Amino acid sequence: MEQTSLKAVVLAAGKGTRMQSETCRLPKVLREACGKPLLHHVLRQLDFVAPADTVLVVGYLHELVEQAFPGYPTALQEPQLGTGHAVLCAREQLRDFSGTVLVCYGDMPLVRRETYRTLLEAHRAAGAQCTLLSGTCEEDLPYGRVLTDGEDNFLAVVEDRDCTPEQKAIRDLNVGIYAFECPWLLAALDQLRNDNAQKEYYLTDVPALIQAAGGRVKVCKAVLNEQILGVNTPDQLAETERFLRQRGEA
Amino acid sequence: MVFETIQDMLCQCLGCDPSRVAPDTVLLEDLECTAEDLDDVLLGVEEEYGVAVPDGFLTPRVTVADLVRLVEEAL
Repeated sequence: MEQTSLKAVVLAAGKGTRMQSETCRLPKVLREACGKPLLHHVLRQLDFVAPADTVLVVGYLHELVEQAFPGYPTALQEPQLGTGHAVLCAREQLRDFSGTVLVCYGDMPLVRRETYRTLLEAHRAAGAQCTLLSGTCEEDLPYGRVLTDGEDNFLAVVEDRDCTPEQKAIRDLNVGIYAFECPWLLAALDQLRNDNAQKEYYLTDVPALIQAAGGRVKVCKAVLNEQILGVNTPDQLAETERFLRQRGEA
Repeated sequence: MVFETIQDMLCQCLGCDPSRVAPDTVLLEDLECTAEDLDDVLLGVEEEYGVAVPDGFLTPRVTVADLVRLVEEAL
């Protein structure tokens, strides 16, 4: 049988502490918008990847997520030590895989299928080992800025708080969604360090590691607007629901 | 008494018939509700009895009897 050339890793482990009201004790990805869990909306947009090739990285109350989404392989992330650690937890499911890995998030239900596919097509066309998705948004959001040269080659991600005024003016925001060639991803994850204030392993550090190892790292620039919205607060959940209704997904 | 109250709350929240709610009913599987539906029920239980349902209580196998026991032990 021909080996599949694409797998997706969906980060879905979070309790979402900012999301937890006094009355809600669910994993964030099981919170509902338009009557369906956030993760349902994400997986619907990822329907071009077979469920068997879509790894859910689960953690907090993982049994509930596993029960709600049977048929998807899961990787357990306990404790939760950052986005890089989350992908590392899926290592077993990615072992011996030589294709492309799409990394995305269970709490970003507004990212469209076309956006994922545009990223993957840009990644393939450039022959890159890693491609970051950057997005512009009409709102002023405190996201990291993606620095590139004139040919969309990756230079760096600068966190909002560390930006110079010139960098603040850059509108290409780091979405956190990536396409990786799997062997390069796994090699870079092995080198990830947690020497930061939070003692976490950040996926954001991986592109530079791949570049340092001689890999080609590109940036796929997109106009994302509401798609960039993650669900971290009750207000964002309400806003997400509003956008989903506008799309006719209620 | 606690069982009857919780049975009533489940039926009201989930729109199910009382005959489907027995002590060994597995909440998520047997009542075919979502985790968020069940979370609403737990909120009602907390308000009714003034008990705190702990993190981790909500698992795929939690039964009506587990919920009744949680309340009775807290009262």
